[in-house]
Amino acid sequence: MSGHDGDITDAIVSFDRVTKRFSTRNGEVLALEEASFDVARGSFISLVGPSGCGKTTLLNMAAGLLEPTSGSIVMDGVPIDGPPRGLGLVLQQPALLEWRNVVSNIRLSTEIIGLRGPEVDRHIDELIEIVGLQDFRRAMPRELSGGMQQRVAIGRALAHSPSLLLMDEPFAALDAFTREEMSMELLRIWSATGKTIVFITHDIGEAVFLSDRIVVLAPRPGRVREVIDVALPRPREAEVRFTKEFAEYHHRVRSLIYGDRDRKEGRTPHGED
Amino acid sequence: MSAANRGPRRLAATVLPPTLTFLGICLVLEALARFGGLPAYIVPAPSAVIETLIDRLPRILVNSWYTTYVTVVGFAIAVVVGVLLAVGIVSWRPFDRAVSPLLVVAQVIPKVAIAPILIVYLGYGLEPRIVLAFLIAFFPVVVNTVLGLRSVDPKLLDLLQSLRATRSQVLFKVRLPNSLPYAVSGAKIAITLALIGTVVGEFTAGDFGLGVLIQVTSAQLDTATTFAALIALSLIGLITYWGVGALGGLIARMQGGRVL
Repeated sequence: MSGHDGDITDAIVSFDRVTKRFSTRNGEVLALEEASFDVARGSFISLVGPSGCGKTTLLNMAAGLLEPTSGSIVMDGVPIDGPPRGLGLVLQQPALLEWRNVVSNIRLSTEIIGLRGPEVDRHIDELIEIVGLQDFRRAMPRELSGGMQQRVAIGRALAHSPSLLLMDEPFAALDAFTREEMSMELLRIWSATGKTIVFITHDIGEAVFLSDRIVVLAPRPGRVREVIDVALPRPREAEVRFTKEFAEYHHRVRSLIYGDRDRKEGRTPHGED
Repeated sequence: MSAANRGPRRLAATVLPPTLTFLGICLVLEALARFGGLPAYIVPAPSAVIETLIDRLPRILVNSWYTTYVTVVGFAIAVVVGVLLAVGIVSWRPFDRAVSPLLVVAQVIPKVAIAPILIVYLGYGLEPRIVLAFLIAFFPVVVNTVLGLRSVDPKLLDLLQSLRATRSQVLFKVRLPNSLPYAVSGAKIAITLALIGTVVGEFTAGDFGLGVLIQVTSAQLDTATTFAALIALSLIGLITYWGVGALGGLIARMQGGRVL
């Protein structure tokens, strides 16, 4: 299941034996060891794992913010060297500009890249509808709830028409209800825009509900534990969470993550690695 | 209750106590002057001060104009130079290393001590006083603006980097707008300091200005005029401070009601 079995032209991003070491005061830390997997174009893929498994490191490398120590990340057939074009980033915190209203915040990424003109305006208008903020165009960030602010951040990440959206625990700071609502919204946005989404979460249910493929990561050192393809039918409604298949996927991911720990607590000889 | 009803009531609640306290102090002084047997050159009766203020109004106004002019010009230079220094410090490491320690030194030198040298360099005109007002006022602008330029969410900087934003885009689209409320609070401190610098300058060397008037009249034991000049000085302080505050309010409104 190493991701090299698929058709390479079908992958928008390929991670090939990506390793990252950080030097810290206490010596070298192996943050990620030989991670390999493919992200199929137009698919929704989640990276799941406990903290210290290198999820965010992986994402930062895909965004060109960090360089792998060894191995390569190829996007659209080109090895990543610095931030690639055609990339949208959504972070755990919305990180909006407090002095700009909703439209103006969404415009930021187009301004940075230097896109302007009536086509861009039309695209932004469409996007505002897609992220469900049409009644809040002129609202300031502090007037919006956490979920709405994150919608603005998603709009901003999509404004310059990237083909790939990287999301680092975007709903982690939201309450449970808003979180579930935003999952539904994200699926809707995903199918409306046809983007490829790489989504980091530590919520197994969220990962199963959203994804075509789940990359389960293990910690210390961070590594790919398994890549699971989720064959639940689409479009998915909230009810899919109560099906037997959903429970099976959930259980499988869960046991991959907690398996180690359960064994350790059971004091089996394989506990240390 | 309606907001219209609450507005004046709140205004009364903020204005009345200090006004009453001030009037009380005036009454005590009036009583001391009239019945305390203290000579007028020590405690002039508030009524006499007001009388003097009216009598000498042209002289006080002329001197007030000079003091206000020097204060505002010194303050304006302090804001411009302060913000430019802050941008330099935040954008260019070597500049930060070379300049920041010297700024602290410049700040800890008592400005009164520099005044005589400034006169040697710049003569007895308005220039040494403007420089003094500037020197005493710019530091809080620099410190606050640097803080505002630096206090940008590091995650937002990552996001900008992922879009390959240039340094000047980061500066003009994010850092500078983010620092505005900080710069305003620095400017509020700066305007009060600029007035102090101006008066120090006028004490040391000056032909016109309330500081000059205070020195001359107190030497003549014309205490009533000294007090009248002090009243004018407090009014200038209040009005310029409110002016900067109003400007800050305008900036906050332009930023969609953003306050620190």
